[in-house]
Amino acid sequence: MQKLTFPIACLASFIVAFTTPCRAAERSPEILAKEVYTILNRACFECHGPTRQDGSLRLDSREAIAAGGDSGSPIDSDEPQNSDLLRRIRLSKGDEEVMPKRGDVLGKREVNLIREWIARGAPWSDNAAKETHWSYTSPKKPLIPSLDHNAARHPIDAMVQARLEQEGLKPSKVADSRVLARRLFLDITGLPPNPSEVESFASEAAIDMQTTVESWVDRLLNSPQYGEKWARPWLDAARYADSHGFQRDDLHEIWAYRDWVIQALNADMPFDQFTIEQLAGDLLPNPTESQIIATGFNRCAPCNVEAGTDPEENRFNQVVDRVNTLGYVWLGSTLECAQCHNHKYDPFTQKDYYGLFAFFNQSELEADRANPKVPGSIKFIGPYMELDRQEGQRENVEFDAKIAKAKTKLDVAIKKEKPSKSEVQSSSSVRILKPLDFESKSGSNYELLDDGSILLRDDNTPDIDTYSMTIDISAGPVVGLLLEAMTDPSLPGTGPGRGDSARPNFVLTAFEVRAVDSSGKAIEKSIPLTDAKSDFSQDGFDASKAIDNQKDRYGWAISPKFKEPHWAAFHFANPTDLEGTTQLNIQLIQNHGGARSIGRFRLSAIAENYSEAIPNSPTDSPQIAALRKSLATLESQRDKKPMLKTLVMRDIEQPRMSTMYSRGDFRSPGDSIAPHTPAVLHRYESSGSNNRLTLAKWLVSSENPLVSRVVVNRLWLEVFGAGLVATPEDFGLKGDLPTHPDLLDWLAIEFVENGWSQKQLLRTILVSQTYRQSSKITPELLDRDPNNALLARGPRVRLSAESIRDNALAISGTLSLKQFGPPIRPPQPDGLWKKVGGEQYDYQVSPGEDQFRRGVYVVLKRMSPYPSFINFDATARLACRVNRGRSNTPLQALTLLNDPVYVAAAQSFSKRILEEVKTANLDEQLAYAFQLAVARIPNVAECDALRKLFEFEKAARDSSTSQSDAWFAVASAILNLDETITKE
Amino acid sequence: MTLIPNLPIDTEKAIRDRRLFFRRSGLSLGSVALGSLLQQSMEAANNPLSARSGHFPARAKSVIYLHMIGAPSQLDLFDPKPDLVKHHNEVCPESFLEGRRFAFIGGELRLAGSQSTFAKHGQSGHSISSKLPFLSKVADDLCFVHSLHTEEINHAPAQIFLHTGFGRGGRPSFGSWVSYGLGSENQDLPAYVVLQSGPASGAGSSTYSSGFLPSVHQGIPFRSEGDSVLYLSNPKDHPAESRRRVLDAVGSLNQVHLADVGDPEIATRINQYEMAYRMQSSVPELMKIDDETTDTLELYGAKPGKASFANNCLLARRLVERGVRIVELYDSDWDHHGNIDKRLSAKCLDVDQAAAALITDLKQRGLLDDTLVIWGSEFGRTPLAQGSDGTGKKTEIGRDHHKDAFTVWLAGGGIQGGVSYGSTDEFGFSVTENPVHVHDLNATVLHLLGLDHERLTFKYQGREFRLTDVSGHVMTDWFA
Repeated sequence: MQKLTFPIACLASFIVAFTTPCRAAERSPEILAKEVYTILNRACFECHGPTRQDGSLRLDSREAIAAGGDSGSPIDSDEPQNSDLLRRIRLSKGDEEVMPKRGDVLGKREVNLIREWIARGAPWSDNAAKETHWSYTSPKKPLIPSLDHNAARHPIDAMVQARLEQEGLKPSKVADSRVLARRLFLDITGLPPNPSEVESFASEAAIDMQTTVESWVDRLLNSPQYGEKWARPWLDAARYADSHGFQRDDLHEIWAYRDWVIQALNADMPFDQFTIEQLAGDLLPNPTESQIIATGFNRCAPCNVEAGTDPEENRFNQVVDRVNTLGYVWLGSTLECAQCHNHKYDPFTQKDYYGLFAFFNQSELEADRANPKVPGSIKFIGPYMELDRQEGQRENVEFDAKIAKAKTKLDVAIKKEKPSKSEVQSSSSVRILKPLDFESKSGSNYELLDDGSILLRDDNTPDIDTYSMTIDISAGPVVGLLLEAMTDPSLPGTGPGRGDSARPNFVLTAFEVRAVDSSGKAIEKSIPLTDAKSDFSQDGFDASKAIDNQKDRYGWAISPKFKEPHWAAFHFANPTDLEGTTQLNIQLIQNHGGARSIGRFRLSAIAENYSEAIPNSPTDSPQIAALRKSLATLESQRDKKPMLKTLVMRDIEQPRMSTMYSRGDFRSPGDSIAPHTPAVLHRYESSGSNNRLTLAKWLVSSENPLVSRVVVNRLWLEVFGAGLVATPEDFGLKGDLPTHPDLLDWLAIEFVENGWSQKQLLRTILVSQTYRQSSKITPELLDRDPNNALLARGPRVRLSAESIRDNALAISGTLSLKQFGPPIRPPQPDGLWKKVGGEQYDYQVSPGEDQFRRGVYVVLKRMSPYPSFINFDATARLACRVNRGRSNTPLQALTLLNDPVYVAAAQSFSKRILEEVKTANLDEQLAYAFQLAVARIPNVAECDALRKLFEFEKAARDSSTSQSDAWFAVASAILNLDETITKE
Repeated sequence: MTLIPNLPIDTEKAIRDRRLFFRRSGLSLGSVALGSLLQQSMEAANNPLSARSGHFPARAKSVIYLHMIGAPSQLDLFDPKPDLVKHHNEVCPESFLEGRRFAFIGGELRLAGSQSTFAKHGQSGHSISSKLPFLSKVADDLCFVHSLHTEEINHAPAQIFLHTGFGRGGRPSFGSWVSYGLGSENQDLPAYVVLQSGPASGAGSSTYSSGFLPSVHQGIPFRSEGDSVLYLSNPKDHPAESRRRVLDAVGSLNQVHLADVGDPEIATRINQYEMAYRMQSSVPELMKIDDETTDTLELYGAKPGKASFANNCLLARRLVERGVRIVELYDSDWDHHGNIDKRLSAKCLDVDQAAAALITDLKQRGLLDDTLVIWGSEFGRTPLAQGSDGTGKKTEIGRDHHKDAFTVWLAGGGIQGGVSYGSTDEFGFSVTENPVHVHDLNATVLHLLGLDHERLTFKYQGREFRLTDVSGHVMTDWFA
């Protein structure tokens, strides 16, 4: 492998590049040439370089520039102002003639450099063209500048301040200690400090700021909330969501992966291991359950299960998504262009792309047709793993034991009090009627058992069904019919219903009897029945509803007495109706829906004396009723426990052949291709096998020039609001150059040397003075450096959508810190989940404290994401995103003012104020409320504004509620402050 | 920090102005009285929705996009094929099927002639099905494009492709691109409004998502149930005056803080709160269609208080009247795999009168010249018979998804009425003349609004993204 180095000259050029124009004159021709080459390369070569020469013009060599294009020479060294190149790069964006034609116009500094370059005779550097782009060379440990004063002992501060000195700027003073306490809390745990924490931080900081910050950072990094805050950006990158996406946007279970991320971050799992387990945990030797859960990362790719989708197209798109995501997350590179053709400006070929594609090409299909001939039969089949949760298991065992005990108790009590049910059947006046024929309208299979009962056998119970059969009644007198709904081990949950193993209920919506005439045909009119009785009927589902001639969803049902046999008896209204009839047609109509039909049943004739043969419907004694109730409660508790499973990555046994794809079309496979990594990057070594595991190890090899810089940059971005490289997803030619290349490299090397510890990296940044600066923006700074690229002040950044909600809940005192488990549902407006296609879900707000849990646990349905989060720039997680936008919109105002979640938070907040500072005077109470939200003490103007609001409101409202209304107004105002939703 | 990267307005200049303001004012920033002035100056620089001109003079100011979710059959509405009727139920010749993809049908494929009756209408002589009597009357205002084709054959990907130029989620919708390019003419309403009749499309919010553009450019659904805009109403038991007092307090506290920390984001926030407040009156006022005359209500077939496509058409007119740039109407249930004749007739009854009324009404109010109306869907339907619904159950004849040739119509906003563009083969499988790709349609729509689809770009993930990816041709033949 060619050992790539990072030339010192190049490093120097970055520093020079950001200095003011007055220093530019000091540039050597070589450095000037290199800088201009960098600009031309980024802005011009795509259309005026080796692959394209628009206007017959090429700008990538001395000779080509001299030769010019259709409109002559682009530069005029004698009269630089007349150069066409200079004229066109100075036009404003949108002008017909501006260059570059697409994208941003060149900045002032870049234009000045080109002007100077032309004026100085357009010096050319052949070396520049040969140099490797900075990000593809390994980071080099920089010399830490030693400054005259000893203030900057931390390497970050030394590098940042050296740069500020060059610019003639000074760092800002340290932030107010209360504001700083809040900043630290928000950055580490995503939650605000409580007032006592703020006060102890402030009093400690007054004595020794450095020690105070260090000890609080250490303490907060050990908080279980750290992982919840830092999981959010990673889950954006991993495009984690709780549904498939596309039209059939059904929910799927992969929350165990989300929990894995939180736990791995809390445990400070080294980033190399963090990478390997997520990309290839299943391929590790003897993988643990946790390592397999981690592979959910790959399964977060959206899956199209819309009827009519080609399963192979869906699979192909998912692999594409995995390759693109890998590019953004680990390589800071936009590989996706190379799906269709060689990358236009970065050194990635289409072959490189399908080399990476091949690593991911062996996974199981996630959607396929149940019947290959029926395109509409496509189903989600992606592999799940059942979770072996120690905790959950113990609970299950305990539950089962409790349930068994309750059942025994109940059986004993029943036997004591009541004759056994078989006595009904053994009565001499009842005889079994074996059906002569049987038909299920839905076509279900069945079996006639020796005891005369019919057992339905089918894996897929139809939604509704009607059973029709003929019985012979000629053997003796008949005054009524007995229907037994029976249990059977083959039925779900043993029956007697056949559609639901947890609640094997049935609803007999109608029981109809018709005489069969001599030709064997049932006559139209049914024989009326009366006087229905049963051993048990569900509330509102009495057996009489089966003979009420109402075509509705009601009938005879048996909840909650599942898993035991039941009977119902029906009396003929006029025994004379049967005269001359030997055969009856019986219909069991079960139109309730939801597969509530009987799994096994038997018919008998009641010969005589109906009321004696059939005992009155037994009613439970209070003791039995109580036992039944406790059993039903236990069973429903167990049934409510979610099935613990999670989506995982699994490779197929017979490897697929991997190929190139012409123009990136899944229907145009080309030459076969072996898994390999892009040639421009460090060497890939495979120890025999070529799979996701060897790929993951290659990604986190210490030779990878990109990964440590990319990760460090993302972490910096979360803290400062912008990365040292402002384009965190693109370290390529078109990406921004690092503002502090030396600092970026120093952090990257530190990160790897500290065992890829993300907590250590964060700590390093947070204990610097650079971080600790006040975030106030002076007019001078706003003018000189509106984006704070030079870091002359601390970060001031609006919080993420999730953090805004977490904070409001924390301030109001209602936040639940309960961790992990299935996603939660906070209140949202009705009707948002209604859509075309896919399963229709009833959005039920999570009960109890669950709806007050942190945003990282809020359900994410891709085609209808939680609106309050979307309003604050969260994404639907349809694709990898390493940097959320931050917009500022009226919908954000409406959300904070009126979303019932924030209204409830304001109500709780107002109560909290009154409870916690009941005896204080009004100004103290207002100040306390203000501090709960933003940590600092309000100034006089702020106090006045709050007091004015309180007093106006109190005076204006009805006297009985004026106090609470006024506090609600204050609480609502404070939750809506820009400062409350901003890390200051 | 720049919150909105790469705005197509001269931010550098705005920042310069802001600096000048600071200098000229000669006042300390601690002065609260200065707040509103300061705020206006900062706001002007920061507001991504302030109206701006495009790349060249626009022919249309607004777009009303009528999207029929599920894809109506062009063969039964606008593109009659007598040969298909003649060969009805015959096995389709192989030559028509080569290389073609269908979502559902396979095996022996039979041709399916239309059961519709067609007649020629207006001076232009457009052939239109008798299922659409009202639209037939405005035929001369419509430009029919019979040769549109797309890349995707399933609903959600095709809907996303039509709107974002890419078949998977995550990219901005055309409406968001326009909002980003031109801002809004009305600072009391969003630039991009979505109205739905029937359940939301299969692609859900991803067809009006702002993707990687700032979320201020997302399409905002105006709902016919509950709050017309989510979270628009004040909380129960808290009257408007009381909420106004809260807003005033928030405003003055934010101004105090702005004076202290100097971040222009706070100025923007102050103005967004004011716009939110204005929306609380402008949106209900807009949604209140019962102040329209009886004649107008009858023209559309609109009924106040009812959720319908007709009401949405009337609302669309009211929105463009107020300067909203993009209004998109979704109407669902056009996916007729089976029983197409009957179901299509029923759907036409839902939209025919109101769509025609929209053209008539815009015209009589002099708005049609500035408003581009588009009627279309994610793809069309096959000339082949399908006789089953999505679950495989047998039904009367229907049609499968067809991506290779389908019809849209456009009207107003610089479009030449009466034009018929492109044609398809005798059965309607392929385009035989003047093919129009979805990228071409989108390029043309942007062009009519004064935007050059090649120059309307946003840098994201290292690429200058466009709505039209790397293609798209402006269809000047359609222009008035």
